[in-house]
Amino acid sequence: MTLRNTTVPIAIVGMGCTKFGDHWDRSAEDLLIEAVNGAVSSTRGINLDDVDAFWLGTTVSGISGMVLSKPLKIKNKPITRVENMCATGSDALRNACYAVASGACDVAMAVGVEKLKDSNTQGLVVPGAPTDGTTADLTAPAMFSFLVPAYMDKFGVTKEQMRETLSHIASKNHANGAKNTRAHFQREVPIETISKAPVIAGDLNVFDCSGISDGAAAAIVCRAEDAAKYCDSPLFVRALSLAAGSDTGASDPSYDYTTFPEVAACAENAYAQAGVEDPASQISMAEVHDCFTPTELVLMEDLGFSERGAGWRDVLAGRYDLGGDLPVNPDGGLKSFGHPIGASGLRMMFEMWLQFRGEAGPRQIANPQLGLTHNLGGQPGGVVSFISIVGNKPR
Amino acid sequence: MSEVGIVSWASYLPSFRLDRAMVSKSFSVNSGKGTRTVASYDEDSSTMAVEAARRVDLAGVQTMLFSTTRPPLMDKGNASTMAAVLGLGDAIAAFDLGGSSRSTVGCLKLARSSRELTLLVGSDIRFGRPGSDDEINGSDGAFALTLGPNPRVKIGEVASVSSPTMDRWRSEGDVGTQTWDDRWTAEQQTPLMVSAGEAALHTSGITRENLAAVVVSSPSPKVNAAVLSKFGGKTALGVDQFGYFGAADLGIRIASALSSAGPRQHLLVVSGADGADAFILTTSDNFSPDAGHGDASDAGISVSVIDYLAWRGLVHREPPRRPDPEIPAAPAVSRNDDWKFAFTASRCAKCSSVHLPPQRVCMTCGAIDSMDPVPMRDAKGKVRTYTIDRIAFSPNPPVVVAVIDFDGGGRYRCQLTDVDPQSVQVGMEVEMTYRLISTARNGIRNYFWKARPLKEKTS
Ligand SMILES: [Zn+2]
Repeated sequence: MTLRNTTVPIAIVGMGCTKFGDHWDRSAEDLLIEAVNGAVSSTRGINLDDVDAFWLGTTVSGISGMVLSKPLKIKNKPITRVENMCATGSDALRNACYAVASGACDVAMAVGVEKLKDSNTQGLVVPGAPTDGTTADLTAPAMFSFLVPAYMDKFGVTKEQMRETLSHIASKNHANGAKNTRAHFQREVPIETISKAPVIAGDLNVFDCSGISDGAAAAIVCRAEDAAKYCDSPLFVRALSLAAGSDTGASDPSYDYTTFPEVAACAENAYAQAGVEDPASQISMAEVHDCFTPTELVLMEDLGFSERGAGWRDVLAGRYDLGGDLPVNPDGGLKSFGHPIGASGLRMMFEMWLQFRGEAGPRQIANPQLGLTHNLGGQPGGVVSFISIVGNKPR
Repeated sequence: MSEVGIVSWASYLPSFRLDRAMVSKSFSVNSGKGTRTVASYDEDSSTMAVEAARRVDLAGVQTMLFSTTRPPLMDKGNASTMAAVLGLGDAIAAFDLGGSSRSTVGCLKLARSSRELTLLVGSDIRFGRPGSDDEINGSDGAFALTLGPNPRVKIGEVASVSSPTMDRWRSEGDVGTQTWDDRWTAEQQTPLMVSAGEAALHTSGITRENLAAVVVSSPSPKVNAAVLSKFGGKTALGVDQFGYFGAADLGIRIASALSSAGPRQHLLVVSGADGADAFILTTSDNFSPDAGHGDASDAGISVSVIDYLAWRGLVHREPPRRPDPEIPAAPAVSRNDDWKFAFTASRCAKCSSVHLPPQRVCMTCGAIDSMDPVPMRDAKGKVRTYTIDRIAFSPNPPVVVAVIDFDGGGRYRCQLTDVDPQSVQVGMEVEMTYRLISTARNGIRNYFWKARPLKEKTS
C-alpha cells in the first residue's frame, strides 16, 4: 500500500464553527451560512467568491452540492457532497486538501453540517438501501457496548475498574466542555452521577453515550506557501489518512471486539506521513471520536497513546485529562458537543485551530507541537477511520 | 404393495407458559388450574410448524401439507415458504389447508391415499378475547408427521360424520372464536364422535378390548371425557394439561401417544370438529417409540398476562421513537433465498473460512467465487459476546443480541430468543431457531433465524 502525504503541502487559513446544540430555531441553511461566513471572515482577504471549489459533508441533511450553494447563492462553482459515515466532515476536508494539492484550484473550502433535531426519533437514524431483512437491527450504543465485556475479559479488568474508567472519560470530557461556549452541554458532571445513570445498552448508561445535536463547521485551505497571504497563524496539514474496513468483524471469529483494526492501520499510515515515530510522546493533544466512552478507551490503544491493555490505567491516572501529558478531547468531545455527523470532524479541527493559535481560553494547552484529529463511523468489526495530524509549523 | 402410514412424528411446544390462575385473577373468571403453552412474541403457526418439522427425518419428502386455523398470511401460501426454510428443494409440492381444525384430518386422509412420502405439519395459536374459553383452554403448538410406504404405524380407514352444527365460528377480522352454549354443544358433539369411533372399530374389526390407547381430540374437555369413557379408555397424555391445540391438537396427541406405545398395538383416534372423524393406528411388529423432546414436561418460562396479551396484539405498547421495522425487499430476498430461508452460508473451497451471510469473495484468503454452500441451521454455537439493547424496538423489550461462534467455524450476530436476559453468559451454548423478526408496515412478515439456549434432547 502506498499512501503518501500530498506532494504540495497544505494549510488551513480560515475556520468557522457554530455552537452545537438543539437549534430548534435554526435550519441547516442557517447553520451553513454561519459556519461559512465565520471561516471566510477569519481569513485576511478571502471572499466567498475567491473559493474555487467546495466539499460539503452531510449524511442526512440533504443531497448534492446544492445544499450549500442554495442558501449561500454560490453560482456555478464545483461543489461535491461527501458522505462517509461519521468521518463525513473529515473526508470533506481531505478532499478539499487533495484538490488544492493537485493544482486544480488555489483555494478550497470544506463544510460540514447536520440538522438532526427536526426528526421525531431517538438516536441516530441513517437511511440505508433496501435489504433482504436478515441483518439484526441494533442501536449504536448496543453495537459499541460489545467492546466492554470483551475488553474486561481479555485484559482482566473488573466490572468496577471498567465502570470507573468509563465514568472518568465521560467526566473528563464534560469538564472540558464546561469550559467551551460552543459545546452543547457546558456542565461538569460528577463521576458518582455518571456511574449511577440509567442503563441504555449492555453496560453503557446515558452518560456513556454522546448526544444528538445540530451544528456546522467550515475550513478554508490553500497551498502552504500561500498561507501567509491569508492568515497570520495558519494550521499546517501534516497527515491525512482514511481507512475503510471490510466490515467482516461480525462474521470473522478471529475478531475479538477489543480493537478497531482499521484505526490501527489508519494511524500507522498517518504517523508515517507525519514522520511520527512515538505518538505517545510526539502528539501533544488529540480530538478523538468519543461516540461512546469505551470507544475512547479502545482508541487510546489503537492510536498508540497507551500500550495494549493499559489504556484504562492511563485514563484513571489522568494522562488524557486537560492537565495531563496528552490531553484528549480538550474541547469536550462528542460527549459535550453531541454528534451532528457531517460537522463533527471539522469541529474537531476547529479546536486544533484555536489551540495552535492560542485562542482556546480556559482550555489552552501550552506549546502544542502536533495535534491529531480522529473520526470513526460504523461499528466494532467494520468502521471507516479518519486521522489527520496538524501543527503550526510547515513540514 | 405395502400399506401407507406414519413413518416419523414429532411435536413442538413453545417455551412459554401462562398460569391459568393469573388469568382468573386478571379477568375475574374461573380459569381452572395449571398452565397453557404460549407461542412467543416472535412465533406464529408457520415458525412453530418449521420447528416441529425440523424434528423429523425429511429425506425423500415429495409433498408437504400445512394445516392451521391461524395462517400468518392469506392469499399467499405459507407452506411453500416453510418448504424453503426446511431445505426441501423447489420440486416440492407444498400446500396450505385450513379454516378449521378438521383440515388436519383431511390432510391425513389425503396423505394416506398417496404413494409419495408426505410431510404433514399442523400448527395453531389459540387465543380469543381476554378471559375467553379459547384463551383458558387453548394452547399453542405444532406437530409434524411423515406419511408414506413402509410405515412404523399403519393408519386404518378414516370414518367420518359431517355436521353443520354451529358450535363455534370466527369471521375474518374477529379477535377470537365465538361459541354456542357449551352444554348444548357437548350434547351434539359427543354422539357424533362416538359413532365415528364405533365405525372405525367396526371397519377394522377391532374391539374395544384390543385397544392399547384411545386418543380423543376436541375443544371441549367435557366432550373428550365422555368419549373417552365410552371407549373404556383412560389414556392420559403428557399434553392433556395444556388443553386444545386446534389444528395441531390431533397430531400432538398422536405423537404423544406414540411416544409411549409398544409394538403391534392398536390405538383408536377420534377427532371432533365439524362433525367427527375416527381411525385406527396400528404399530408395526418391530415398533419402538422415539425419544420425545421433553417439551411437555419442561416447566417452561413463565409469561405475564400483560405480556401474553401484548404478544397476541390484544394490547398495544407505546412504541419507542424509532423508525418503523424495515420492509424486506422481495427481489433482495429472492436473490439470497438459500440464506434468507434455509440459513445456508458459504465455505471457502481454498481455506475453509465460513461466511454468514454467504459471500463471493473470501474474507480470509481473497479467493473469488470459490465458495461451497454450507447449511448452518442445525449448527450449534457459543455466545462470544452479547449485549442487552434497551432502546431498540421490540414487541418484547429488551432486545438481546449475541455474537455466536459456531462449532466447526463461522460467526453470526443475531438476536437471542426464549431467554431470560439476566441468564445470558459468554460461552452459553445456543442453537438456531426460525422466528418472526418483525412485521413491516405494509404487512410483510420478515422471518429469519435467531439463536436460543440449547435445548438438550431428553428421553
Ligand atoms: Zn478463503
